[in-house]
Amino acid sequence: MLRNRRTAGYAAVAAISSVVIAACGGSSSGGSGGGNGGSSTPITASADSYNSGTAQSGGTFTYVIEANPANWNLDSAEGNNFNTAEILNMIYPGVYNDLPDTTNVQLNTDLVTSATETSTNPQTVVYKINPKAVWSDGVPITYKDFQYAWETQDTGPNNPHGHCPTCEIAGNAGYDQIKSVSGSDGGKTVTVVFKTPFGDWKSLFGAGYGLMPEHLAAQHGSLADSFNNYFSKTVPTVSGGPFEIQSFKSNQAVTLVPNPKYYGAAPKLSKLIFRIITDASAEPTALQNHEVDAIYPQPELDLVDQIKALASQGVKYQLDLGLDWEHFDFNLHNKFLQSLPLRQALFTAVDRQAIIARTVGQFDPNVKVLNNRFLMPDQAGYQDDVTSTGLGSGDIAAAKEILTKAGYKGVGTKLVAPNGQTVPAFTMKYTVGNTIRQTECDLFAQYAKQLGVTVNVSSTDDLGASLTHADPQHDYDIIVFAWVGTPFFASGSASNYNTGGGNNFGGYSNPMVDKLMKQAVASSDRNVQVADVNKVDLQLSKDAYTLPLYQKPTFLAYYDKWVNIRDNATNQGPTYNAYQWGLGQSS
Amino acid sequence: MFAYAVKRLLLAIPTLIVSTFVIFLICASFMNPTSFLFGHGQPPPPRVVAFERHKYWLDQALLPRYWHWITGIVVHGRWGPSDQGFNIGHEIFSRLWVTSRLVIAAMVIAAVLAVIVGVISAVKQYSITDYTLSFAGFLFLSLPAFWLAILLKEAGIHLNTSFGHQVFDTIGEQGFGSGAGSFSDILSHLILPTITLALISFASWSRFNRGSMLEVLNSDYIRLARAKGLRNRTVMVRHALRTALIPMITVMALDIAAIFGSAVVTETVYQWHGMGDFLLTSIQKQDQFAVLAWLLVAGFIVILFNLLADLLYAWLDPRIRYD
Repeated sequence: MLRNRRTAGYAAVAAISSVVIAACGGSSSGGSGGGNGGSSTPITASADSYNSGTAQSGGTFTYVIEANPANWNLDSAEGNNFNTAEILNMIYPGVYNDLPDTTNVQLNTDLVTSATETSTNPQTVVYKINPKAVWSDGVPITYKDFQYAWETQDTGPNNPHGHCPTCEIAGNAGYDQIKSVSGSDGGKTVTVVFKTPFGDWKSLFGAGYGLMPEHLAAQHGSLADSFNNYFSKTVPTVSGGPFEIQSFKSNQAVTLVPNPKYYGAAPKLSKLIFRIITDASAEPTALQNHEVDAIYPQPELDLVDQIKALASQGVKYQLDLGLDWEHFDFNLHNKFLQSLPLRQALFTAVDRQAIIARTVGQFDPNVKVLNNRFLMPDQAGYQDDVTSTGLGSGDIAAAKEILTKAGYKGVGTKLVAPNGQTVPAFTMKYTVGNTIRQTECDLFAQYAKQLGVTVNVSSTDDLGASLTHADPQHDYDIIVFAWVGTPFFASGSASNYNTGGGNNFGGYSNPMVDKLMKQAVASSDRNVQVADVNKVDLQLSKDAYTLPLYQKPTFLAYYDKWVNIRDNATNQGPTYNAYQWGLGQSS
Repeated sequence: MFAYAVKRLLLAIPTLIVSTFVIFLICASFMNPTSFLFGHGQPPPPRVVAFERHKYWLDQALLPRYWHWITGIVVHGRWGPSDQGFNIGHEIFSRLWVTSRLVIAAMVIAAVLAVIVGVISAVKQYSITDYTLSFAGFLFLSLPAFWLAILLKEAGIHLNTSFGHQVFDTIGEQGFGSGAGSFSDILSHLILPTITLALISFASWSRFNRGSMLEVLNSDYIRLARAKGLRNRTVMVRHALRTALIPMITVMALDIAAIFGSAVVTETVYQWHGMGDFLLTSIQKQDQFAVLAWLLVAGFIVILFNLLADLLYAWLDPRIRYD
């Protein structure tokens, strides 16, 4: 999921994953005063119950998001934005939810009473929808809503001629392997039959990407019309979750109130306000002044210090190492960047350790260089697939040698390609207001300059649009953003690297990677998945398409009078359980 | 007076027309709403380019495009296409209302403060009071708007803590919880940004008013008024201040453009969604007609205030209308 956070704003797409080993070290999420003296901590199973308590009914909670929801369709490439997901967690219901431990998913028993794999040949999954489950307009939730999710997203590498080739989807791992979605029992039983095995079947129809109401889609033209236009451009008027949208004031706030037709336990809060603050530096003061109740900014040195100073006023915070990771990507639509030696040289010149020291390392000494694009250091199967290739080492001499050997001239002054064309200045983008990313880009430009390459750094206020179809010719040559992971590390990342994948913005293509990703996604054996994705990871390093920088700390701050709010460093974010938030009994 | 007002109004109309053409020329020259099509990859299909160019009227020559735009506004109330998903006319007037609250409140406070401080400084020239007020004036004059805004935010939060309840808000032009949109809610959001903007304007105006008052107080007719035995209050208010205010009004009217400029910064720090936010977002998105709308409205306001200044000038000094 593209993570486009406030000042910072990352972008990320459904990606990574994690199946954290039970023995992974570290304490649970930091609480008041922060865990481990303010340093981030790896997440463990106790993260699922952190800050638990009995909540009172009523009250208004104001939660900060950092970008205006410009597109309301999370399944679309342009709408696949973390900030929007934080709102829609409570609107569009999914079969499974990602838990804060970043390892497990939890069945949404409000929506379905069971989800069972009834056969492996052909692979068949049966979902029993709660008979009481209805949309807020009274229309029952049925297999048709599942069918709509499938039909709009089934065009992909395994199914090039799907139902909706023109639906602008973010990713389709799994959906393109489904043979049929059918209903029975009055539409309340859904049977999904797969053409080819799909190990991560629990990632479908939920896990941050909830079901959208098919009956509304049917009123708004073809599949493509409803998907690309209606759901993307319309503020949701119908909810299948605990809350519904009462009002949306562009660039200011989205107000949610309990959905009176909700079929599960009613939410505790009487109002949940998502306040849009695009300047992260304004967030701590807004929290201190009680104008908001919780913030989830990208941590920066000053910001963390400001929040720490509020401990005496009852402000708690969690600084965790979850499934977010920062990275540089090249845009291979630029013909000069189609040159492997040039990409290798640029990434070799990048000193990742120095970048960390100048950015997140200033407030979090636990942040280390990340050497894998699929697994985090605390997860089983993590291996270093980057160091051996020399990428990210900051070795300028080695980088120059790569270029010289490849026939480049003017190395260190004004780089000229082997065909005699001068390498033009590249445009590098970062999310507006994100000072950490700005520093990362500035450092990248300095490294490139030593090779004779000019990199012009500029910001974008709409990362999704810069990366995707709204800017079909692409607005960047090099970009920095973050992927936000899910527990499904294979299927969740497939569209990032598969040829033509919805999240493969830079146009990367390697048949071997396609084949291995297909294998990994098909397998339900974690060991097979790990082996395959690590082979892919090594190939990605050799192809120097993307360079992982570090596992990103997440930072949640809130007043301790509120219970059940906790960090969830997956693509769903802390609002995964907003229906449980409320004032503690002692407040 | 009526003839004078009509004359000034008629003069303002061609000024506005010329300014619309100038801003259109500038925007048409430096902004291209279809630039996003031409990144660094393969050029888009000609059909796509033609469609986008037609959408933004770029398939028309400059003068017909200008005519299309200006008649659209005047005749049909249409402000041109925007890629931000809103009706420009509706959006800009909504934003103008937000910014107007801030600008008008700041101008009134700044003007009242400037007159009081200017008069006191002039009357007590070279006294400790004068030096103190002058120091304060120069201090606020030299403070960057964004920094003053941040300082005031901090001060507001500390005062809230001292009071034990929330008097000042620091984010947005209104709240969204209970009491949202009420007078007290809007007022609590308005105070700090208004003070920020007012202090910056007040600083220069008070210095100007001090100089103006000193000039008047040293004039022969004031000495004559005093020699006639008029009460000091009458001399100061009816004869000195009224005369000193004439150039002050001109300065205030001309400063409206600068205040709008400062409002952009103030709105950014306090996360207001007024004209400033509208302009910045529109420039970032290369939304040509939205930028044009902002410039047109801002230009109209500047011309309007200049017209008001001329009329007030004539009212305060009857000799002027006979020029």
